[in-house]
Amino acid sequence: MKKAAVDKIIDSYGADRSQIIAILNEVQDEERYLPEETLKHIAERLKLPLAQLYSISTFYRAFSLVPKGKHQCTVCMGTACHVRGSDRVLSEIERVLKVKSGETTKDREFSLDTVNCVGACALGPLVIVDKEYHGGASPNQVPTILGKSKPTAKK
Amino acid sequence: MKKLNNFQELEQYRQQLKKQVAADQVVISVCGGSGCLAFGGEKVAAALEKEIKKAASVKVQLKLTGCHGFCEKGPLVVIRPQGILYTKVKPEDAAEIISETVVNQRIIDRLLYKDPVSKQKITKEDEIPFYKNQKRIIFGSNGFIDPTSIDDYIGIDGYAALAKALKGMKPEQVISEVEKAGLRGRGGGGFPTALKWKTCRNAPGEPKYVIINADEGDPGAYMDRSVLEGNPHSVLEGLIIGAYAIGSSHGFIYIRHEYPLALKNFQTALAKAREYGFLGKNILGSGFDFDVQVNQGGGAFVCGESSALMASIEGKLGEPRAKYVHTVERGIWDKPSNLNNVETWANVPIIINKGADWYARIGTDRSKGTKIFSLVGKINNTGLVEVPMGVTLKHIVFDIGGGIPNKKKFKAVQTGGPSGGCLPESLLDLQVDFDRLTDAGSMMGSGGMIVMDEDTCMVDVARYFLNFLKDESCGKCTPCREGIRQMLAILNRITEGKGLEGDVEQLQEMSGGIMDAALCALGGTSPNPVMSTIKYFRNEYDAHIRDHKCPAGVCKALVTYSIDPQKCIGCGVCLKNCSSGAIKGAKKKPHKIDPKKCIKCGICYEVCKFGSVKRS
Amino acid sequence: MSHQVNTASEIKVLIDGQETRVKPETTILRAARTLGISIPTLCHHPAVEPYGACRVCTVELKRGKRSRMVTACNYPLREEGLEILTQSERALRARRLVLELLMARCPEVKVIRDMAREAGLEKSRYPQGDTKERCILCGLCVNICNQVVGANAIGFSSRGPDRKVGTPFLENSMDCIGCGACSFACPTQCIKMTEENGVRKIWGRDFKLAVCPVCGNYYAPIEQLEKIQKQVNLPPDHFKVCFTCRGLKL
Repeated sequence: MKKAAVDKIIDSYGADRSQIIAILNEVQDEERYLPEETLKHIAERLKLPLAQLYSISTFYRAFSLVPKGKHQCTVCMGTACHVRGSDRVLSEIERVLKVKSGETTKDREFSLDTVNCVGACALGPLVIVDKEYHGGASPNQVPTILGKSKPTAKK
Repeated sequence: MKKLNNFQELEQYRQQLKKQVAADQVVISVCGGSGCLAFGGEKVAAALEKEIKKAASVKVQLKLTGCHGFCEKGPLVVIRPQGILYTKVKPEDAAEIISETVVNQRIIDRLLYKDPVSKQKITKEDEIPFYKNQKRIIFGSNGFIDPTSIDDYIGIDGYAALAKALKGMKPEQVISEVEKAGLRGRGGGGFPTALKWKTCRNAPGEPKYVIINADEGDPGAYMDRSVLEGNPHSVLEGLIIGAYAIGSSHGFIYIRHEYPLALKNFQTALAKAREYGFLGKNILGSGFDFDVQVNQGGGAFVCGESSALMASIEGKLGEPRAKYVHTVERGIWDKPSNLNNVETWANVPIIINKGADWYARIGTDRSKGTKIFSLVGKINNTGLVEVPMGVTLKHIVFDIGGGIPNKKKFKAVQTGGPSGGCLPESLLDLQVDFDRLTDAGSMMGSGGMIVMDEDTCMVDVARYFLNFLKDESCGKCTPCREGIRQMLAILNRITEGKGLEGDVEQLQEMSGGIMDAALCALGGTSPNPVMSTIKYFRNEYDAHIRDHKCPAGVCKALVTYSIDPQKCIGCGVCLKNCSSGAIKGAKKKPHKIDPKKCIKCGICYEVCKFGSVKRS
Repeated sequence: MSHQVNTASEIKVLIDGQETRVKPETTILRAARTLGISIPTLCHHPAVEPYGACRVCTVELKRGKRSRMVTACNYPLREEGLEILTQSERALRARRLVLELLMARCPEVKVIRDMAREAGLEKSRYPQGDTKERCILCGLCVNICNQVVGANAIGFSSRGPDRKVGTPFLENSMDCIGCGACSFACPTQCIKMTEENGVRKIWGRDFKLAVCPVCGNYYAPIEQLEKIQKQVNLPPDHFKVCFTCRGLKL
């Protein structure tokens, strides 16, 4: 990410240290991860010790220090989704994409993550692909949800 | 819009707004809650808008509102003044809704709600059992207003409570009104709100801060999201009144990044409130100054805890500290800081407007007012329900929630999130309030109510919550960081059929120690889901440990699937649905499951219409 | 929240049956030590704000009939009529839980094993972790580095069971001055620091040590001396000779 773009984000929050999460959220949204150089620049601009910024960047689920795939697939693990079988939807996605939750596929197409409830409990089990909600998900819908064609799967 | 400089200008403006809306004006409200939006609510609204433009002869106002609560049946469309409710509306229905219902006053039968018990179609929203059995003093307005319109809010008497407080009440009077109303915090522990405010007001140190906790993180709870998305001004008005009572001129909202629409709508509300003069210097000419800053979360459950939330606002790592000196005395930057959650703040304008006496008549002895619950899980009418404190679990689950789908048997209801517990069938007559839930070994929490049926394994539920807490533990203190991990290891082995005699006792012993030794309330209450499932469902633990059986058929290691050749007609549905290719069989011949390939997802068991897939 | 804060000069407190008077805001730990009562601690250090993370100093606090568990290191005594039990069954249960968990995490750390033995525990029932693991994540090194040294060179990363202490990005930290305070303070001696041929190695970096022109000994990392000199605005040649020799000459 270009320094000027990062500066623009920082300045839009008045270079206020207490807005650090909001600033990181925007960088993460734009870059799909937090590049080390960008973090160092932010630390400098906010006069925040790098160790503290590194702590914050690795503490919150929203942030990743490694580049993410082109598509973000997030499976909700809230209680409502769990009792309706989100576990097996997740296992099926892991099987289809050949990655574990928290990982990115080798071709960098998909990153798979879980989230502990997004508050859309009526839709459980819920899978979110690139911000689009897929409610009532079941294992056999996985290929459709991921937009991959699979001859044996029918919606 | 020019600023409203005093109380009179606000009232005049309100009257003017009310006059603009004719009594017979047709208003179509499309639910824009997260559930309905995911079902395509926005497309429905767009289609309706197009049709309204075409039908130039009728005057219709279209509103994309916040969540109406009946998420199960979304997208929802309500046509007023008649109050007709259409459920599961599709964009293709838009033309007919305008031409038939709006122009010709005819009801479209297929879009009506059908009561699953009486099999009757019901036309009006307020006649449906789901709504009829609620008391929606906080949540009811959601269906009437466009959350991005401050005028809509003013039109339903918004900011009247603020004017009333600033005009005729001393700060102490506001606090005593909230005290008389008996309001207790809706975020978890149920601490008396007025006592918190009073302590903060009297604590030495300036400035003082007031904060909205919108870091709703309990899995299975989304009422705060829906209130913020659907009626942000009600929360803001409550905060401004609280700030006045406490003597604070600086407020914060700490909001989860997972709730982008709530963030957006609240930011719009702030901007509009500043424009109208409900925020800023000399609010409504009263001499009171106040403004609010927005802080975002980054995905950490622990930041819902007050000291962690405040550390996070300061730009530090969001981990809790000991609260031997409370945050109301030393909070953000060591200044007195008063934190309440979204729903608590939203109760404040109602109390000031209607009076403490009116409010205190709702609810039980020690729990006043209403509570919004998110009724989710194995339940027919998934959604948000608001009921007076003290109604029974049975009333919520069966009368409002419509019971359990697919003729399954009720097993438990989980309340209070990861700090709460699971309540069995024998407690269905329990009156739901703060103290009774705690006495039963659960808690109110923020109001998640997850219904579980016979197919839910309670050992798996305990394991689920500990896994959640292991993920969300900040890692600061030993009991939470190491203890939950070790308890989870025991539960994992039980669900894998490798449990040992004495495991349950060891879990109980560890629970006691963690409750005593953990640093914060989240760690201290983390054993609750384990304790309550052991208390009420000990037999399920024993079945896993002694018989290596999962009675609910959930724990994969203890379940096998097979096809009964006598019953299988070879229709091939299971084969088509099996994602691992474990089912083989020729058409019209009995099928077989290859246990080596079977990943035990259970989809064959669910799709088979002939009951020929066996789970054992 | 409703307790009364005593503003009088001293308040009375009962610890394990012994009475003492302390200034308000005194911690239980300090009050106990004036009585010669020892409460085990790991993350506590007088030079930093109490962090309250290890929980090994958990004690039982009684106010009338009500009893609760608090950590001695950071509980401020602010009112009359409190009774503290450092050896009650409940206090010991909490302490044993903490020590048993730490023993499982760090099986080979002597200070933990000794403390556990004192609390009546010989071994941990939980599956043992890596025998090389010595860090109990008490955070003392981080707090010393931030609060005392002011270098902010190390911090926590990740969370929950994955929490770790280290330099940012696990790279060599340019903020580290090689002072070694973290290593000296660590209760389980898990931060490696070596000195050889005038070079100190810590956190993956090499720090050149200054040589004293008087005695010829190596005495402190040059970077550390520079930082202190700048921070306190001392004359540039303030640290020219080692602390011992300076002491002798002055």
